[in-house]
Formats: sequence, C-alpha cells, structure tokens
Amino acid sequence: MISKSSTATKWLTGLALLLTLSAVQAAKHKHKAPTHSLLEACQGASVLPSPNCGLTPTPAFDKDGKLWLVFVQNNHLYVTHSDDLGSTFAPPIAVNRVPEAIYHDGENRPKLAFGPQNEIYISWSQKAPGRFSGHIRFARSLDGAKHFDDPLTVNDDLAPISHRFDSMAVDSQGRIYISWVDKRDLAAAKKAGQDYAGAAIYYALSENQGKSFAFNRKVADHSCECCRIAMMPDSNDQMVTLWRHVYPGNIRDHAIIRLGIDTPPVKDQPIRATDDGWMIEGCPHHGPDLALGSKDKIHMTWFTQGEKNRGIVYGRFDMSNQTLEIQHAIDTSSSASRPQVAVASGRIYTLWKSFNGTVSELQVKSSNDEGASWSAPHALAKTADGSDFPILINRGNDLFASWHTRTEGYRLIPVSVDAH
Amino acid sequence: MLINNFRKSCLLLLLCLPGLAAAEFRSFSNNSLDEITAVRNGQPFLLVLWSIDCPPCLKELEQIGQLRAQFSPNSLVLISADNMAYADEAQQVLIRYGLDDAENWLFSGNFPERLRYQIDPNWYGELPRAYFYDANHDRVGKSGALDVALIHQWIAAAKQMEKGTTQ
Repeated sequence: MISKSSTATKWLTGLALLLTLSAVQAAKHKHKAPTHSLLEACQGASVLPSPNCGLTPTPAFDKDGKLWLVFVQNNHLYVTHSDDLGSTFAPPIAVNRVPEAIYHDGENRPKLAFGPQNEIYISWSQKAPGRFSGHIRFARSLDGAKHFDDPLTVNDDLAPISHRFDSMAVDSQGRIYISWVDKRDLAAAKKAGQDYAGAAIYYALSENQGKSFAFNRKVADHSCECCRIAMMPDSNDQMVTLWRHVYPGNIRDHAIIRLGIDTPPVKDQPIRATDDGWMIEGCPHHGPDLALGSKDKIHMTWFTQGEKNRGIVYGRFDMSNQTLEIQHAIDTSSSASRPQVAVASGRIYTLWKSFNGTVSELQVKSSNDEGASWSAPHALAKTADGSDFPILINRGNDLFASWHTRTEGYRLIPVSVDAH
Repeated sequence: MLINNFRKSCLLLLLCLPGLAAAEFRSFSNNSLDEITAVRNGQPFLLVLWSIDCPPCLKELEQIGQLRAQFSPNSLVLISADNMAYADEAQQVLIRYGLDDAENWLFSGNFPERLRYQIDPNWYGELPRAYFYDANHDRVGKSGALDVALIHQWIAAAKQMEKGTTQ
C-alpha cells in the first residue's frame, strides 16, 4: 500500500533530517538493531522463519485436531503445523508472497481459523502509512497450506485511517465473520466539525469460503479505539461479539451483541455486558475474551479499573435476559493482565499473565459450578524475560495455553484438569 | 555515475535513520527512574508516560506541547512506553508537538512488565499515565489524558514550591 511517489519524498526528508544531525551525535548513539528473541537460533540477519523466532504466533486446531500456527516475521505471515503438539513444526509456508507491514503487537495479531473442510483462513491488520492507519486483510488456502490465494482487503473504506484489531470466527455453515475497529465514522464526524467518541465496530461476512467478502456492516458506534474484539458462534450460529465500548461519560466498560448475516447497526447504546464504571480517557489496550458454555451461557473475562471492580474479572452473562448473572474477581493485583477464558468438560477456566517483580507467570483458575466458585490460582509456566500474550485454546475437551516467550521460544502447555 | 553514487550513499544513510532518530531518546532501563529523580533533588516535576498507539496520549502531548514554555527547566520528563523498534514513530510524534527537545526516554529491552513494575508496582499499565512529583518527591499518579486546567494548576503550584525551596 506504500505508493512509489512517496519514496522520493522520504528520500529528501531523510536527507534533510540527516543534515541537521551532527556526525558526533550519530557516532555516539549508534545502537544495535532490536532483537525479538534471546534464543541463539534467532540471532543474526538471515534467520529462517520459525515459531520461536517469529512474532505473535497464534494457534488453532484443525478439524482433525492438528495444531497450526500463524506468525509474523520480516513483513510476512507464515503458517506451520505440528504433528506432536508443538514439539516440532513443519517448514513454514509464506501466506503473503509480497511483503507488507503487519501489525504484530499483542492486541493486534494475526488470526487463524478453519472452515468445515479444513479450509485455512488467515486475517490480519496491515499497517498503512499514517498514524494508527491500517487495513483488514484476509488470505485463504484450500489445499492445506500448499498454496495461499492473494490476500484481499476486507474493509471497503480505503481511506488511510484505522481499520485494525481484526477478529475472525467461522460458523458451523462455514460462513466467515471478520469484525474490527474502524474509524471511518470518526473521520466523517471530524470533517463535519462534530465530536465523536472512540471508534466503531464493523463486520463483514464471506459465504463463499473466503473468495470474497460482502459489504461492510456497522455493528455499533463508539467502541474503544485500541482493544481486541472477542467473537465466537453460539449454538444457533449467531456470533457472540464482545468489545470494550465508550459509554457516555468516557466509561470504558464492555458491550455485547449477537451478530447474524444481516444484523443492523445498534441504534442507541449497545447491551452492556460489564458495568464497572471505568471512566478513563486513555487506552487500556486490553480486550476481553469469551467462551460459550452449556445453554449458550456466555463466560467472559476482562480487565478493568472501574469503581466496582479492579484487575481481572470473570463474569457469566445470559443473553436471553441480558443479565450479568455472576461476577468474580480473578486477580486484583496490578500486574494481572491479558485474561483468557475457555470451557472444557463442563469446567470453566481462566488464564492470565502476572508479574511478581522478577518473573512473568501464567496463572490458571477453574470453576466446576458454572463460574459461581473458583479454585485457588495455579502457576502454569513462567519466564524471566519478555513475553507475548497467552492464548487459551481447546482441542475438544483438552485445554492448552499457547505462549511465546523470548527466552524459551514457542510453547504449547497442557492445562491439566487433574491439577484443579 | 556521480548521481548513482549519491543515490547509493543516500540510501545507505537512510538505512541508518532509525538509529539516528533513537538517538534523541534516552534508554529507560532498570535504574532510570532513580537517575531521573536524583538529578531533580528538591525539585517538583511532572513525569508523563505515553505510547504512539494511544490516541488520548497524543491529545495529551499536544496540550503539553502548547504549555511547554510555562514549565520550569527540568520539570517535565516524558517516557515513551514503546519498544525501541518504534523509536522513529515516537520521534515523529514528539517533533509534531514541539516536544522533541524535552527530556525524552524510551522503554529499552523487551520486558516492559519489569519497567512498569519499577516505575510503580501499583500501576496497571494503562496509558497515558502521569506522576506529579512534589519537591520532596512524594508523588500522585493519574491515568488518562490530563485536563489542561490541571496541568496549569500544577505548573503554578510547582513554581510556588520551587520558590519555597530556593528562599
């Protein structure tokens, strides 16, 4: 998306900038290029793509229970799979043949999902020129990652503004839903000299195995600008979608909706899923997570610093009467972050990351009574350097934590039911 | 030939630019906060943490940029909580708001949890985040974009405190 004409401008700007900087400064402040991993295999200029050396590896199990990962390395997305639950991986395959800038921070990472026939679907946020700018991109492979079709841009507004924080899920009919945070309404309001809080949530749908996406639909105005969206189909193939919203007064609590193939935009305020009263004109960069349990009960976990709750919270929501039935403080300490929730064999699990001053740890709590009471936290893994966000992932009733850390590389860690 | 060479060297220099832009930042690491407070012994100051990927942070920086002249020397410290890889973009933001010659720090390494913990074990990591240090270096933390009136008020109070300590 970077135009050729901008190269010359960059050139001249670069030169002008250079001339203003003294040679002394240049010599004094040279620093090593940043390295992403401490693993020896990942050092050097010609590192091969791998889940250990790549960034934000994101997992999914295919219909046969095989582990797949997508990760970002050197402006490419790569896909690989493992036949031994993450001990070894097949040589990675590039998704995008033409390199492009790809967002790869924890909230803004590539997504991987499978269709009913093991079609491989990848979505990501492409970094476009301009602050906060991006486009929602999608690519598919219908032959088990031997070949990926050229990527598509899913957002139909192509202005150089924010279309980012993509989320993707596939329903039982194979329809692909992608939702994202979009600033086209903010841009329009600005142009008209009007105020507009936050951004908007949009979605698009593909009913032809990702060959194309239908036009973009707005879900709701005034979402938070910088938090990932949680999305999962319920038993009726409605996409339960949860996001951090900006309610009047800059209250950044969560909103929830069930998306179908033609859901109209929310007219007034969207249904409030959490009510912590967190007023902040700031960026939590901390999206929620959800999992569906029996009777389509919605198990949610989120981060807040509201009046009523602080830290990582679990909540059970009933969509039929729009009620937050249960709330539980998972971890109120200030380092608790990046919560995930999953259901396995009828038990609810929450997973999150915490820091004790020396090491970062993954913590797990579980509940065998639909979220009413919870086990004590159990430390699942730790690392003494930087780490990615953890992801809690099901393979049927087996549960795993997927975690990339600078020292250890990629790990798929079984979450044992017996430990609770 | 000459043009070609010029082009080549220019391209080479362009490759160095990210490194050069990073030069404007001091690297915020394990003991940096002690360093920041030590050189301001007995002086009130405002410490502001921000990130390029945080719209309210940019709004706040714009306001601070407009009030820049009113700050006493050394009474403003800015820390970008971005990774070194984003030094260039962070630098552009600071230039845009006239804050590139302020005291600017940038998170070093890849373990932001540790740096955040050292700044304040009770801070949850949300941005923007500000700390108002008084002359004794007792501090008050505040999350979210600062109100202009509050910044004004603090600048005035800080000047009073400074007068008090120099009299």
